[in-house]
Amino acid sequence: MRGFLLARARQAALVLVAVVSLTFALAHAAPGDPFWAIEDPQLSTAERDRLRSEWGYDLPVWKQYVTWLGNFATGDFGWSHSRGQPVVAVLRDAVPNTLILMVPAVLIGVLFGVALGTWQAARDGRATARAADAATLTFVSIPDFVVALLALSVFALQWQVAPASGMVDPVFHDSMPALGRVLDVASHLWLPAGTLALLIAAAVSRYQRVAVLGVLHELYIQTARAKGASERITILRHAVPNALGPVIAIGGLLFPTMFAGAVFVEKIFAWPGMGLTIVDAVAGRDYALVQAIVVTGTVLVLVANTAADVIASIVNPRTRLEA
Amino acid sequence: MRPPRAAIVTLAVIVLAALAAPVITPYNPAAQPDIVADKNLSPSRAHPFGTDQYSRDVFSRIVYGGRTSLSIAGLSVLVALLIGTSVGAVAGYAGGRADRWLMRGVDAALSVPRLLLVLVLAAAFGQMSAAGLVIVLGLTGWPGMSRIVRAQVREVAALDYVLAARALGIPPLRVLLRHVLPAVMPQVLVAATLGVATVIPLEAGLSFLGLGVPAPVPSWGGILLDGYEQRLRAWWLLVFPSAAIVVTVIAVNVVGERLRESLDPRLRPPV
Repeated sequence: MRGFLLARARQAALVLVAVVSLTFALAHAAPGDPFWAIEDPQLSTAERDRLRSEWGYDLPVWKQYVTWLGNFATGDFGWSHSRGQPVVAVLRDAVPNTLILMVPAVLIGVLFGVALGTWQAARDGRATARAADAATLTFVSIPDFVVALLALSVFALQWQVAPASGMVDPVFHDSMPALGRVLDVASHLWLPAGTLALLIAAAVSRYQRVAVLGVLHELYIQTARAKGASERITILRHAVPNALGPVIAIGGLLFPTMFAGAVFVEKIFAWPGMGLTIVDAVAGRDYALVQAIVVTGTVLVLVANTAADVIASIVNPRTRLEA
Repeated sequence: MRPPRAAIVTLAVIVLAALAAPVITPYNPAAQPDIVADKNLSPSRAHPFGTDQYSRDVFSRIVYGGRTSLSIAGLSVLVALLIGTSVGAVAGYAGGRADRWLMRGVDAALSVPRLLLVLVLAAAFGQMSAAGLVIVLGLTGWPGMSRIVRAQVREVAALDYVLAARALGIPPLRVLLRHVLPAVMPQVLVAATLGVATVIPLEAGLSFLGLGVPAPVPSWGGILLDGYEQRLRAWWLLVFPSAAIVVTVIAVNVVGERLRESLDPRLRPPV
């Protein structure tokens, strides 16, 4: 188990270094530097050069890289020019907001998806299961942003049972008592989080269905049936535990996709998390902020991925050998 | 297993409409006939899908948008396919250290959200042309393909006829190209089909975020962005581009899944 964890941690560290280096390399491959873009006719070439050397842009690339890595490692992500504040301050607001959205969505989505997939496999071939299969295939085929736009149009704009944008009431939130503020966030949360949970459940249920179906061909299932176990016990006690390992491992691979889904959901519901922030940052050419969010997003995905692998290895010890 | 006729016919209609765009569209997709009087018109006989906030005909824009979206999707999958097949085939056939290092790199690439990679590239290089999008989507799409190709190549390479080819003294590269890769092609085709089904929403999503092909060129995601901005005034600007994207992606997915199922022995009942 320890060897397995070490291998996972090494892989995660490698990914992180690769992503950090890639964002640095891209910043240097792109034309110009921060001072090249300043459109001030008053700024003389000499003055530009002085600014460049003051900020270290005249140093050799490898020196800049080392300094920059050091800054990143110590949590100094630089200055966000579009927000007019340090990148760290922007992240301090955005990361918790994304977690408030993602954690309930992932939990509900995965639980519901596993239940649905198991039910479909148990009723394989019947009309209800086929209808459910068509429904989940439709949902995984519809892009995240279309589902989110649909949810927004129907629930927030047409029926008006949810606020159309933001995370809190823009006027009254600060004057509310503590419980009122929580309820205010919850009333803004349920629609975007529900949308994400639905998308996750659809994807998870498809893997779960195939995994349970694959297991149902195994001989120990025949044995269970032969000794007279009820269909319910056969599925829940014998098939599901054996199908769960691969599903959790594949679930780990879903995290990058979920993150992308969160970007669109945040954009469409104007939820002030990392997704909305990075979209605005890209539009504002705020590279320092983009870089920091990409690295933070990668860290979050890696942590979630590694957690999924560890859980999978607990559920199914055979996967440990693969590491 | 019977072929998914409805999906194939749907796809054919969409592709033919995109190819024949100048013939079947009643208006120029970029023309703004009367920005005051013809703005945000709801669907009518003259404008079956209505008009947008610049008085442009939405039907014409969606048909032309299909050209943009489909060609970017197709070409970028081709780029991803070329790189992914090469890397996967080399890793799977060579094995050993080359395999370990290549696949470690692929695992690394796969654990980063693709959208984030695309966003970094967009931030570094600014507004992208259609060709730029093809390259960016292709460069971020190959790792998944390479994994599938590698797994298949390893399986095929262990078969007796490959051993026979090697025993005859045929050079390794020739064995790989002439004897192993052709056997892998069905799976590659499935991967490519499903690849198209992931790239179409990605490209549309980028355009929806305002980061796709530059403004006057119509694309499905771009029209959807117009719809998001006009969401309180013009439902048709949301419904029709969404429908175009969804119908296309579902049709491609159905074809891809059906192909995959017909190739997957695990899903066949035991004999």
